[in-house]
Amino acid sequence: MIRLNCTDFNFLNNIALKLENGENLERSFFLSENVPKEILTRLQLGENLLDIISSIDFSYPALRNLFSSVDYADETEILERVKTTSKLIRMREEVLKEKESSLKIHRRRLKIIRYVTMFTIAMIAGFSPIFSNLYSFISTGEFTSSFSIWSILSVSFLIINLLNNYYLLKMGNEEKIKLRLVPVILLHLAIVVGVRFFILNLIPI
Amino acid sequence: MKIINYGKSSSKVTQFSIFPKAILYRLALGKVEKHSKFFISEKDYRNIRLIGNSSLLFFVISFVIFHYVTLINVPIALLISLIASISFLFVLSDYIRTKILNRHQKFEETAFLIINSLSINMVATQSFPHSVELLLTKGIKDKYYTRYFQDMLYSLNLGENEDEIINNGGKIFLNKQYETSFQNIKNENAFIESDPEFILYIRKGIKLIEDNIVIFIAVSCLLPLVLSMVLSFLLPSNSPTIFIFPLLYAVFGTLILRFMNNKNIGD
Repeated sequence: MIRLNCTDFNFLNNIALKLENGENLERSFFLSENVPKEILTRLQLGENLLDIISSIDFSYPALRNLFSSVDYADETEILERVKTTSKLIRMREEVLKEKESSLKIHRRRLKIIRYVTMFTIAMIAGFSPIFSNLYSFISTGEFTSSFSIWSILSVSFLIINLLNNYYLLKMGNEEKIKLRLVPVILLHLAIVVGVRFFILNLIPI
Repeated sequence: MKIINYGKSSSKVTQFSIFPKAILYRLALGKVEKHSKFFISEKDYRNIRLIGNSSLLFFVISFVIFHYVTLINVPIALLISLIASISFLFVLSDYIRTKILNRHQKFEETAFLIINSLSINMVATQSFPHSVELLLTKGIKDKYYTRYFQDMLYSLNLGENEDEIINNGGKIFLNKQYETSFQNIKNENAFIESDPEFILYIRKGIKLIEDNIVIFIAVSCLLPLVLSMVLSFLLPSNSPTIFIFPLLYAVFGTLILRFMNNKNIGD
């Protein structure tokens, strides 16, 4: 099986152009720039076009049938059919490309929001031991000395962060959502531990 | 050709539900129940019933936790566990909801690709059975469509009337636009020229998010910050009541997702 150097669509367009200029199918294969050397050599050696066509690996297998039926149809009809096929392929590829590209831009935008909010929430969670001491500060007038790593507040922030990431991933139509939530947990752990050392150095307990 | 339901149906499922089923489905699925009815499988219904039933269990458990462990008074404990169980029901059923919507989306997209492939094959081979055959060798990954077209090919090979099959076969796409273009498959220039619906759907979703992006940032960043400050003043740091906050957040987020989906579905 030989693969073409270009997309099926470009190849078809080239052939259609050559056919329109009055060449026959064999000549248009020969003149088309993006045909692999191997095919050209085989054409030069005088091999049957049908055999060559059946050895090309098209991404649309119907093209093989299209070119094979050339013997039974006249040139104008072939041209018409090649043109229609190329139009159909173009439409399909355009739609798929549009979908991909618009989703890509959309995802990038959401990704920025996701990272920013992820860090913010993780930071809040990291400093939550200070928040959680506010209550005792108000009621007793002094901070408690217990800066535990996992306060309930920081766990609840972890859940919030996971939820936030989940929603933003869902909005971006992303796949493998569960896997992408693991870095959030790691980030939380890292920040919590970091803040713990920071506070221990700051406030001698 | 018979069109069976898209989702696989399992024969033995428990029908038991504590809540009235109609209300439960309505609450869990909302607009989707009408919009994508064809794509809701028995399994989805069973999962929704399961979520409904276990939300009651969740209610009891959270009441026990809040009342007996944190020793808050009964009305507040009841209120908190009510919020907890509703958010449990809401969030989990939204998961099923979006799964159904994605299934619908994928179905439409495949429909476009199939009709396009069929038209290409039709131009190339000039024979309908042959193009269906080509379609089956390379093209469809969706099991549902594959089975359908295999059946179609089988009846074509048995010598059933081709025109009749083409006339009735388009019903599988559940979409008038696709159905007509399937009926016109023999006519070379009949392929839909306008943008297919699934692209419009994606564009609509993107536009919605673009318009409301400030709200998302506010909800996802400012809300946790402000609420955490308020809660830390109000509650001791070791009180499990703080967990009410992620629950509220879950409800908020799900509401937003749901709102967006609904906007997307409706015109």
